[in-house]
Amino acid sequence: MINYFFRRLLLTIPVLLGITLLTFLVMHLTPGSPADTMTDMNLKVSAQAKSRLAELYGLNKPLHVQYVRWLGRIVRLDFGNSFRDERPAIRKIAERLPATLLLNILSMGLILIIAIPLGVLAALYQKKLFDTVATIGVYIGFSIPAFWLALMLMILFGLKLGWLPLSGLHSINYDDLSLPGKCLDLARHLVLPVFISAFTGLAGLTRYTRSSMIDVLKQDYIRMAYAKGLPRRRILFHHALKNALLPVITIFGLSLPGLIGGGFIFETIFAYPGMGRLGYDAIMARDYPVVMAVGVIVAFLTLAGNLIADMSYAIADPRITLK
Amino acid sequence: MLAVFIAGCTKTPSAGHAPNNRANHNNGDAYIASSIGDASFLNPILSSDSSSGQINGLIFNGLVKYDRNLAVVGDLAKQWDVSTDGLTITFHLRNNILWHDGMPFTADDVVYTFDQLRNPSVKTPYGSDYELVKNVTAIDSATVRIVYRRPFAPALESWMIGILPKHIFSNAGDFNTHPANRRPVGTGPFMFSEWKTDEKIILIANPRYFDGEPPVSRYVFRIIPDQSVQFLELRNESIDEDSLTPDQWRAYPEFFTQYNKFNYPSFSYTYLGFNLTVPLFADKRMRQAIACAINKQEIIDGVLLGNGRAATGPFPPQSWAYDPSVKDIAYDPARTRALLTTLGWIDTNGDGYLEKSGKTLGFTILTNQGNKMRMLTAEIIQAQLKNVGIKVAVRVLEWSSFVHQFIDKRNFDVVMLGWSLARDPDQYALWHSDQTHEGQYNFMSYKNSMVDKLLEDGRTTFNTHQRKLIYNRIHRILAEDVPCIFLYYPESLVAIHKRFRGPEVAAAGIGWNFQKWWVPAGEIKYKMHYEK
Amino acid sequence: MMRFYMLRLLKQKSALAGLIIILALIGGGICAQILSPCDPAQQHVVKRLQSPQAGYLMGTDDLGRDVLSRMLHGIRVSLGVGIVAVGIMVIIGTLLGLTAGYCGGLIDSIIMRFVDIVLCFPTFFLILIVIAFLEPSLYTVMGVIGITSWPGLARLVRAEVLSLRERDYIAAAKMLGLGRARLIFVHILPNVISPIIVAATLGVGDAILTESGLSFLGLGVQPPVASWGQMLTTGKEYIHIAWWLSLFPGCAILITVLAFNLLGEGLRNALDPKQL
Repeated sequence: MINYFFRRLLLTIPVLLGITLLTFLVMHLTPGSPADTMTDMNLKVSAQAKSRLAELYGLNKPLHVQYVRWLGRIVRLDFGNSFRDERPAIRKIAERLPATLLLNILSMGLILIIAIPLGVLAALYQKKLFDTVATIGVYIGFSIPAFWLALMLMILFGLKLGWLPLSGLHSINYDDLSLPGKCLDLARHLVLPVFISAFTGLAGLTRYTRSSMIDVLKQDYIRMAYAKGLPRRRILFHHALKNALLPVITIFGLSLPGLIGGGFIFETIFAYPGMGRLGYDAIMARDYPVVMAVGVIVAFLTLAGNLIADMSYAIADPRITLK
Repeated sequence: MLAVFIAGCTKTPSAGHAPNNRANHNNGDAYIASSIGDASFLNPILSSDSSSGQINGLIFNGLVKYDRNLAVVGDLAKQWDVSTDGLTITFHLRNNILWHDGMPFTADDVVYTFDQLRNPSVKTPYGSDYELVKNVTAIDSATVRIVYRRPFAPALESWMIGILPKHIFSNAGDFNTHPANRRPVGTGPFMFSEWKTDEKIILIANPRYFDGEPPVSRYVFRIIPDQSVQFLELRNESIDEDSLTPDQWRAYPEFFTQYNKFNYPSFSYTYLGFNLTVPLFADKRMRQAIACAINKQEIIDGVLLGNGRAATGPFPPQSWAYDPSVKDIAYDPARTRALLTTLGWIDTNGDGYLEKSGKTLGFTILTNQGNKMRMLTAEIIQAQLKNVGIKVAVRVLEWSSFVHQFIDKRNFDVVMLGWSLARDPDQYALWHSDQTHEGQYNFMSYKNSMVDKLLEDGRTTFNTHQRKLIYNRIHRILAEDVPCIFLYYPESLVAIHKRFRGPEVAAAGIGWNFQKWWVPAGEIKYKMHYEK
Repeated sequence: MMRFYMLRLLKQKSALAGLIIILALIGGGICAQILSPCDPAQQHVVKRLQSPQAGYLMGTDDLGRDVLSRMLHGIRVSLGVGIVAVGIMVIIGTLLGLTAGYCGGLIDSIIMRFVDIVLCFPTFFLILIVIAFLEPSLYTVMGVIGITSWPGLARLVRAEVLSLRERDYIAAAKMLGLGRARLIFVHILPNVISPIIVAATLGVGDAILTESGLSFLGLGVQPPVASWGQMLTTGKEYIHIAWWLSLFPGCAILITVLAFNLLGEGLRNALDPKQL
């Protein structure tokens, strides 16, 4: 097991390298340059000024030189400065982390709390009314375009009823509020984003929980357990659930990078200062250092998520041996 | 999102809005502005985006500025002299101006700012405006002399750029990454307070501003990246200013019970530009034929809902360079058909489109993604040209690849774009034949030696009357030559909360006197708790 | 046998409802030309933003085009994007997942590292490049969605195969000396078909939603071709003054994606060999 862990850890190095190389190439092959977007067809900016900017950013060097330079800096954990505002890319990311983590942990927690019991219950009451309602309910969440739902709920709860603020993370007078007032203000701003991201993300986990629970319930060892006369509760929660959650672990491990990722469209609608907007804006502005930094961090988390998924898979299912 | 806030003072109080009932001068309240994008640098010589420009305009002052009528007046300079040969400008600075940190403003700051503009390691996009400057010297602490190599008429406008504090920047560190680029110190009516990335920027009134402390004590710049949500916030009264689309402008009056709406012509035009190196468009008659087939009024009614007017040339009507006697090309599809027939384009196979030697008459209009007006205009033009037998495809591209792959590489037939113009009519960069290289702005490759000559003269002539004649001629020639089809001059549409007194539309737009806006004591919405 | 599955499918009411909706949509898409009251590209600028009324059952859009006609023509675009993209996803994902899971060892490692790289790769880059290099057409959008959505499926299939591999009947089949291809396609594939179907149906929905997201960013299909996603994005801008512009495309996307999911769910129950 320990061996396996270290071997996998070693394997992540070439994968990470591969990802950075690919991202780097793809990004530089994408038409456009940071000087274009920064200067935005501003008549006051001349062509000479643009090429001078490109030179200052080192963009006129051959690609492999730029990549090796970037690698050289990354080893020292220096992600470079953003082209857009000359601040360290890593700081720009760190700045977004609290808000992003807050939203994602809350909504993932909500998904876990709702989806697993819902899936298990739907499996137990298979083909009953509860199952049908739960199925249709979670699929409505999956099927509705999130930005549309968000706008409609903003109009309803924000504008018509006036219960919740529309967008953003803080009120204008946030700094003047007392500590409980600040918490309440933050909570009110988070209600809609958390609810919508949980509601639209419920389907996957619920359905996988349900289907794997159904599969498990048909296994011989469950029948055997019933035949042995074990109490139903013990069978369900001790024998069945543990096995049913195997595929769920895969799904959950895969969604780990989602913790720091963020939906750009979602964040745009809610004017939420998260990672999604940072990444999208960086791509659109060809802000290479920020794009690379976001890429590396997301890639790292994804690999970590995969590893955790595989490891916990092995821990939970003794039939699988990791070599 | 108001066009540009031109900060500074104006000595001409408007008659009907005399601030006489402003008993409690600094009565507080906050002004919540909204923007789609965050600022980049709060440093006027590094930033080129409009969000940064809007904030920088409130924090910094230039040497001169435009007043309400677009006349150049003093800002940090109280007066200036231009030598008769046009080569030397001497600025006499105001005394007793303090930076926000209390240090005195001097001529050294002006020299320092200029040095950074010309410093090759400074990442400024503006250097070229100052290429013709031979030197900038501080005669004494309140006088700056600027010597040019050649006369340059738009020079004064270039000194509207914000002046930076030497004492902040020179003490330590790299200019480009200096912390003051995010915590600026200026001389303007508002002082920097806080910047939460992609969320908001907060400014507070400068009590020591040389033209008096602004009555509005806090300016909050909220970043709301989606326009529909911005409008939602407006309906919810959680922002005090929003720029409107024509449809929002026309929306139900009950949305605006708490807002005043303002419309004024913006300094811009939208055009359909031909790639003149494409053989199809080399013939002027073809360009005229296309121009005659486009019904501008239908576009203005359908896209702008009447909030704009048909364009006849490259200068907007409120500019002194505009020649009102230039007639627009009339909408006349019959003339288009006649012209196209003369050129040999006939519908031989009956598919509704014209052909010549087996080739269908058609082209692709490229435009950038994210501009609804342009996309709708392109779709209307597509339908209008179909009526005369021209097959048009519309392609909408992401901005950076659009500029890089298509504009810069001259890889297009026709583009639909717009220009936001400076107040000075010098359009050398747009039309001169030596501006046709990659990355330059004459990407239509327009070449006309007469226009070249006039553009050169326009840059070196200081007499406004003579300049007006020069630009009127350029206007006339371009209207005749049809290097592009000037479509319309759009209006800016803005809603501002009713409790603010003082907004007034002038030639300069609406934000020109922002630092004089105020709220009557009884209508204050945001009570301030900050202490000085 | 087919009949048997069919009956089992039709017995489930929600799946039946999904099937009917999908068939109706396909029918509507095929007959869009006949059913449309107007030419979907015909502009009447004077009649822009008319609310639903006789003659314009779903109102008109910002260029005075008939929304109903555009919705009908949009079926082809949106369904086409979903189905083609999922086809690409299923083919790549299943083949790689099966191979990795069954072969194990080095091949597994290589495939999974490849999956890791693609999973970590920002999808948006690929879309930008493809759109910058190729014509941003319908096919580009289909292809881009397809080739960026398969890694999840590949992982899932592999996980299923891994657990199957250890089961007794596979071991028995191996001992009987069955050929590798026969083993994979006859004994393993049918047992992993249900997660593939679940993933594929969720995938059709996902693809339709991704397309609407691309349209939100302005990177979807180009005018005058109209997808529902594009219409919804337009509708968003008019949400304050013309509710019908977002309501109809929004509901259409919701109902379609829902229908695919319900049908997939039904298929899963009907096809599952374990229910025999």
